[in-house]
Amino acid sequence: MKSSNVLLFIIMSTLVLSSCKRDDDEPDDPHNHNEEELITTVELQLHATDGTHASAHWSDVDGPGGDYPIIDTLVLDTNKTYSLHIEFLDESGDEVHDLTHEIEEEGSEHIVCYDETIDELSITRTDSDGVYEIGLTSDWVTTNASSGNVTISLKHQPGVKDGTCTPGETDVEVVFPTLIE
Amino acid sequence: MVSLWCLTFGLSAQSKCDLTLSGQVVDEHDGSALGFANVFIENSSVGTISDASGYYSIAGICPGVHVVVCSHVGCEPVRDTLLIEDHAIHNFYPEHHAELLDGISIVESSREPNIVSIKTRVPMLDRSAGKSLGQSLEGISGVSSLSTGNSISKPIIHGLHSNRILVINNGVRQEGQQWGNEHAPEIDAFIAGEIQVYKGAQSVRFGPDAIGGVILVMPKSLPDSFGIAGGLAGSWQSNGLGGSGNMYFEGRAKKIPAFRWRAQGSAKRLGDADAPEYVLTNTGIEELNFSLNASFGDQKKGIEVFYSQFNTNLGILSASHIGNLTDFQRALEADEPLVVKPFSYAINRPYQHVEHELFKASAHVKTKNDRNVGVVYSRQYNLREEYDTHKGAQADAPGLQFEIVTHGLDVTLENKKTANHDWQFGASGLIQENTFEGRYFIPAFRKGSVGVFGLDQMQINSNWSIEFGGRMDYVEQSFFFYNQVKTERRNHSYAQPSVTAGLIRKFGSSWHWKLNTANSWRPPSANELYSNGLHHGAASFEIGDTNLRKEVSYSLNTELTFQGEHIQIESEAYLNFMDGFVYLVPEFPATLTIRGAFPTFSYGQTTALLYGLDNQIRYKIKPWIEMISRTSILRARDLESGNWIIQMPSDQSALSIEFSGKIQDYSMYVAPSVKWVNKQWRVPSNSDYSPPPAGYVLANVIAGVSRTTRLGDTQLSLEINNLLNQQYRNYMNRYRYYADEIGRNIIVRIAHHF
Repeated sequence: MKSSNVLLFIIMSTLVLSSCKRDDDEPDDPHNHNEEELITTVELQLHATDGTHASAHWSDVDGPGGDYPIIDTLVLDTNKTYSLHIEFLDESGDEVHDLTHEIEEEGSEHIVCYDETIDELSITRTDSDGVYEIGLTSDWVTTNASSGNVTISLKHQPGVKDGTCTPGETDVEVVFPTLIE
Repeated sequence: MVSLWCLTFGLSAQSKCDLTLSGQVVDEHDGSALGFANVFIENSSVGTISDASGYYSIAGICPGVHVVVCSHVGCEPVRDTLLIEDHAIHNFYPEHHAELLDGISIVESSREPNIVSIKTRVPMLDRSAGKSLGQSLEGISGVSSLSTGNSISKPIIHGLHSNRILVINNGVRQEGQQWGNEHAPEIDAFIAGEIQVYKGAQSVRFGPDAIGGVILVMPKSLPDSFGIAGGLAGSWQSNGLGGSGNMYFEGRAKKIPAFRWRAQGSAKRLGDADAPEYVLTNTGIEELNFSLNASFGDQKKGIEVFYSQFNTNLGILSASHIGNLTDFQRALEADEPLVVKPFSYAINRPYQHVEHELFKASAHVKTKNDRNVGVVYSRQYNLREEYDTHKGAQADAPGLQFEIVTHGLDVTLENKKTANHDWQFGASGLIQENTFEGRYFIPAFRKGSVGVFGLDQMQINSNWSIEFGGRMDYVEQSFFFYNQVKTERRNHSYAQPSVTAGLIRKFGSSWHWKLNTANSWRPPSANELYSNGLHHGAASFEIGDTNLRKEVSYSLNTELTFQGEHIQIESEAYLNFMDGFVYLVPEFPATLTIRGAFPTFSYGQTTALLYGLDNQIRYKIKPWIEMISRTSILRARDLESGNWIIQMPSDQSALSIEFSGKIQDYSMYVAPSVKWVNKQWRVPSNSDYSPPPAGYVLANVIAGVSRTTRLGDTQLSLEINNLLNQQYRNYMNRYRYYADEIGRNIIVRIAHHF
């Protein structure tokens, strides 16, 4: 073989070699540049027209698995109208991140759904993304004493929001035991 | 069927018929020289017989396109179409009992007893252009595929897949993220010049993980003829309104005969697929691949480099990405997917982006006593990015990303047919590093392994031959866990021998009986040991078990074949006893998270028994009509609980009738076929979200025409899959919970090879 051929071969191999992709991470240095927002806590703040106040929270600070979540019972008075502010928080780190305003900004991709198994309670969303309701605020009207569950879910519906809770992916689905007394 | 590929040639009236064609006739499988082979120009009296070392030389050839036929006792004749414009060198690689199957020929190799291998011809000329690797293997009995919609498909051999199957791409173990059910092999199907499927345990030759079998993907060998050649192929399909294209150039210069090269590139683009009644939103595919290959040297010694890149974006059916069990229940109860949008080429979230890169450098030397020494170094880089519906803090970043780099080194010493022995010794080593970014699913790890093996095949007499071999492997894996303060490291190591023994008995010239017994093993994979999290799309919580032992399989395969004048029968029966079979065990209660409750599964081990039958009959009713029938039956039992094992392919049969013929210069064929897949009712109770779907019958048809002229070979084919546009769901498709399979698909393929 001529030396020029060998040279050609070496050049070609080098070209091929140098185009190889490299990964720059060491396995003992795992890091997460792109932490997905993790919702650990749902907080309900209810203010009645007469100034009375109720609240409850559902939190799973260590994320899925591990410790069992802490779930409050929501206690409401009979025959009242409350206005609810719902907050979604990330309490997994040292600082608490409030993710509610992000949901509000992306209101056209989100909807909060309320599903109550109590006849004595009716819930209606009071806010809007311009076309459909979002549900970060809502009115809760109670009648007689009762008890049951309220399931609150946050749906992520990018491009598929139609005002219902059917399409999309569920980001949050929590059940609050509720007592009207 | 072979007649299909018998291409015609134009007898051109050239004045100077003084060219010579020379070369060597070499056995396709073991590379040994074949003496006394007939080599002649078809439809002429020009020809010769190769000498004892396989060399031949034919003089007095006119310039032009010639079909040169090489035949040898016990081999199917090889017909190569050559454009001869000057004195030329061309080697022939005949093989035993070559038969065609879906543009793929079944090859029965004499070299290893339990091999049933398939071979595709030049991929651009075959009938599967544009299909993924997994899809192009579906026609083989005993091989099916586990799919995630139409875009992701991975092969299943005798009920086993993922980490229990080894894919050898160009002589190198494919190392990516094989553990995932929705992780397809990262290989450009256009690269394959030949695919061989080894059914049954093959750990001795190929190392751990080869429990179910091995798929060998081999690019076609670099060109022997001088000058520059190449080819173009394209396919277009109605379902997805897109297609694929492949182009390659290859060459060998007369001035530097030792140097051969090839450059190849392919692309694919499909939009949303269609089920009979709705669009499968976000199921598009984009693929862009290339490869470069060059060698320097000859049969005696040489070096070769190969580089390939595979890049793809795969859309994930929008309706299949669900948040929790309530969403999942809603999807199951709906007749139609919950997200259906008009047809689009766009690939939106959720989708996967996968890159795979292979660099290989190899060298071989033939020693004086005719032994081959081969060394192969390889580096693989694999990137897998999974983009969830949700965007994270960085809008363009994936929710989950894995990068895995693997370096491999293999050394083999082979001895060909001396004193009836055909032996092989080898050693291999591998170093691997996996890192992840984004949400946790499996940890970062480092893996190292070494193995040594020996195999001997012995011809006792003309009727009997035996094979035996052994191997020892040592695998060490270190997993890294980062918990804000420090990195914790956990080590797992495994040492395990593998053995194999087999025999072949010939009864006359028509009957063959093969028996093979082998053991194989694999270490538990990262996800089985350490996964701990939500499996998106499966709506389940998966928990690994760090105490898992290695999984060891003991298998027995037997095959009886009959090769008659008009009829060929292949019957294979197998038994695979698995100790420490890893599977998912349902856990109660479900895991309660802020997204709702999730059914929870943990990895466990059991003793399993898989057994089954593969049967194939080919009957040539007339020279131009051939009937092919294939049947596969598989049973998989958990011996500890007595339950069936989940996610196993059901019994299936296929029947096709192929009409082929030649009108003037045009070779043509039409092959209608039906495929029947039984309902998989052999499933464990209470471990799946919905019962297996009903069985189905599908009708397909393919027709093609080809012609060879001075300008090269041209092939045109038309295929219609799911001819009746039937609505059905497939148990082995992970989308079966959400949507129907794709409807009628009309595929047009054109290829030109010059």
